[in-house]
Amino acid sequence: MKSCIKHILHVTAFLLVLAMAVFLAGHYLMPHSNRYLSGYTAGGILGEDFDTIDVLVMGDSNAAQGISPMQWYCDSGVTGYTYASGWLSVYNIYYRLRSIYEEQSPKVVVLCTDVVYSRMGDETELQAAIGDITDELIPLVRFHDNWKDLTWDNLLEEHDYSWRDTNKGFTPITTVGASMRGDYMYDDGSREPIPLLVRLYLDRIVKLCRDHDSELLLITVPASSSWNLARHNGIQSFADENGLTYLDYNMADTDPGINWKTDTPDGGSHLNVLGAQKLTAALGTYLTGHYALEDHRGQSGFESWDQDAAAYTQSMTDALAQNQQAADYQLSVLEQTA
Amino acid sequence: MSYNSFIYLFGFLVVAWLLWAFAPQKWRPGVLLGASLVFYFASTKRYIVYILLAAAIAWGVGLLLGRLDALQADTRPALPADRRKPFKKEVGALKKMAVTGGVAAMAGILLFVKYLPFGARVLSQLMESLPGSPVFTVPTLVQPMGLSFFTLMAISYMVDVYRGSCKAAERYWQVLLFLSFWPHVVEGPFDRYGSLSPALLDPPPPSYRNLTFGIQRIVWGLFKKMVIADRANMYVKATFDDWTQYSGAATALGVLLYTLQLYAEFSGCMDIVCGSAELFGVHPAENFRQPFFSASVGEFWRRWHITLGAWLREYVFQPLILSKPMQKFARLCRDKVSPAAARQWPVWTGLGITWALIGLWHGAGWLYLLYGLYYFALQWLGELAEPALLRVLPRLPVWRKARPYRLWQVLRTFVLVNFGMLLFRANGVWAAVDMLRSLTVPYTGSLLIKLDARDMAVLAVGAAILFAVDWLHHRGHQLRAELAVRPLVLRWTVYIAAVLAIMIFGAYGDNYDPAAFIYAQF
Repeated sequence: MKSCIKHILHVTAFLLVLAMAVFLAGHYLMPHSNRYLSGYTAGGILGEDFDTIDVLVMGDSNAAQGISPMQWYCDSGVTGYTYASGWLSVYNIYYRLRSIYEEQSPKVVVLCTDVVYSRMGDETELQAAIGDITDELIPLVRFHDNWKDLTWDNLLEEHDYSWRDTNKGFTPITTVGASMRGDYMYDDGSREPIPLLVRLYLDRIVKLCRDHDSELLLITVPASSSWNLARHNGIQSFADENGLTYLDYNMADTDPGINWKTDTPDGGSHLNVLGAQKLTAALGTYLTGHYALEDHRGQSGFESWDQDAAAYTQSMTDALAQNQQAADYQLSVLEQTA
Repeated sequence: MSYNSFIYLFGFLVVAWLLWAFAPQKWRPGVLLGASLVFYFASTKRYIVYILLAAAIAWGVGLLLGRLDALQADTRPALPADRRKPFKKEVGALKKMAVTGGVAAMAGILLFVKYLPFGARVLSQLMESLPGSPVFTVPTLVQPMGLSFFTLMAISYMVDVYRGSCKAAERYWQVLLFLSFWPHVVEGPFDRYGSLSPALLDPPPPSYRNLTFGIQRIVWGLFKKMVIADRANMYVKATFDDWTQYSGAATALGVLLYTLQLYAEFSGCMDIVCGSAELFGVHPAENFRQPFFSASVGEFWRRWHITLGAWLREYVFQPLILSKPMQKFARLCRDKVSPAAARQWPVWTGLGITWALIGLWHGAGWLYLLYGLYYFALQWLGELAEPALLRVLPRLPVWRKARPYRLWQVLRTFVLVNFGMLLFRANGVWAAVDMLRSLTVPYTGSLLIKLDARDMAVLAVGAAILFAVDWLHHRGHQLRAELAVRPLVLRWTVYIAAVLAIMIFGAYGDNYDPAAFIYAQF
């Protein structure tokens, strides 16, 4: 018995030391700048001043390429940020949202629902969940490959997480690749169930938002290649059960006017700048019409937003022109091949 | 459920060990059986019926053999002297019939599922050349996990019971546990019922040493698999799958890295499974013994996938050369050729068949057959060349004792094995020929294919650690036991460094494309 207790203490002590080593190594291997904390420019939210974001959009690449919060600031002074990156899952989003709440108090959290059904490769639901949750709980697992970025110069450098993104998480894509799928929201009467673990974490997100007095709004970014009515029905059912508002921009009654011949860069998976502009405008109208969101333009503490707005306007003018050119070319090609 | 997955290591293994450790002694085999069936079912679902069926056949045959032995032991002494011999003969014939039926059934399952589509394809191709022949196709059957392993282990069980080298299992679950025991059902090793069943059926109580040593071995296996093999896989995949794009040094490096990948992966998997079994006080057979320190291909195969070689030697080669047709062949050789031929030719025939089976065991395809026959040719040519070499180099036996000559032999074996690996991994016979030809064409591009310089550095350091540990084992060191008596700070530093090395340098996550365990496909 005595030796058994000794062994248990021994193993416990070892595991504690190991855990410390793992977390220290994880902290050390975190990117030196928040620019590289996550895919796209999601990490830029850490560079924003505390409690300045009123609308937080969370999702995967569809959100990153489809929703441009700076457009809301330019139009109505609403501050927003799109925290989104490729293949971000519901599990990732839960943990990232929890950490964002440490610095921000968004009034509205917009959850893009593409993440509910997306899964990488041939992973099972359990494998995907374990992989993503481990990534979030053990930073060393998520950032392990950053050892390649270490050089003699930055070996002892402090982390600097003050980088800000003038696009506020939006990634403009200016190319065009038409989608010719036609009607993808036809009714076959089915409802795709939400996977069990995903559902569990959706419930946790709902609770987290309620605990922080944020309104949770579910939306689906138009995506002709990955969305359908069965998925819509699955999300609608979840929204109804939880008393949440759900806006599916793939549906005819909420369609922001997406032209699938010109507004997508990749055959309907994502939106380009032309499509993002339409979706952002439609969502912005809904947000300002349904939530008490303040106009921060000219307010003290938001000077950097005014500067960013000027830079954003300039860059978007160029991006729109470039995208329009690509769209015109695409239309001419389609006409020729018709 | 992959052996290096989070679910296996931190879910399945932990739960199984806790249930096993806290279960009463008499329930422990039941816990092992339950865990094995859960593991197998989680990976194969309804195809679990194959292993249930194989266990039923093996158990039934074993039981019958046991009963016949008991009948003989009980009845024979009471018989009149003139009846004893015929009775023994009758029982012997029945036993032979039973074991032949069992082996045929097991081989039938294996042939039907694994080799029928290949055989049908070959037959179809042959018939296509005949005018007016019917065209037919045979659908590819789903091969249940570990089929090549549990069928051969079932055969070894029945034959061992027949030979009297192990006792027949009384209960069905005992054979089922032996065949489905999760550490050896996916990639081996080929265990024998006689040596494994004592620990499986009456496991020792949980011990701190087994627990810590088991975990250490699992960590070492994970290091080989995740740091070395999965990283090398990216280069290997590029150079073998797109072989026409590469030549010279790029192809040669691809072959070298494949050899490293396969060794690190297969031996790493064996470390994980042996470590897993060790947690439960079970010690499966060792499958590797520092194969790259071998001085000949024969020695290499006695150190690489040891249990497959041993299985084929004991259950194919030896019965084959002692069989009546082979003895008849030996007499024919003696009468028609020479006494020397009578000694050598049957052996070489048996070896040729055994090597062909080694090749075909890996997969139903011409390339695998070629792979097996390549090693047969090397051994055969080596033996044939020996007298000529001794005539040309009379001092050869003296030189052979010198260290530089041994080093030359090791290097020569290493090169020959690498050519074998090229055959083994190439995408078909013609791709292998192309790759061999391209080795002589200079390559001018960058050798950093899919891997950057830092990845290459990790591979080099990983390989150096792997072979240094092999060298120490080769010299007789028992590293885990030796480390266990060192000061605590040193031990913990080594253990923590190993875990951190896997977590930091492991080729997992978005930037890598880790491969499934290669031998799990066989």
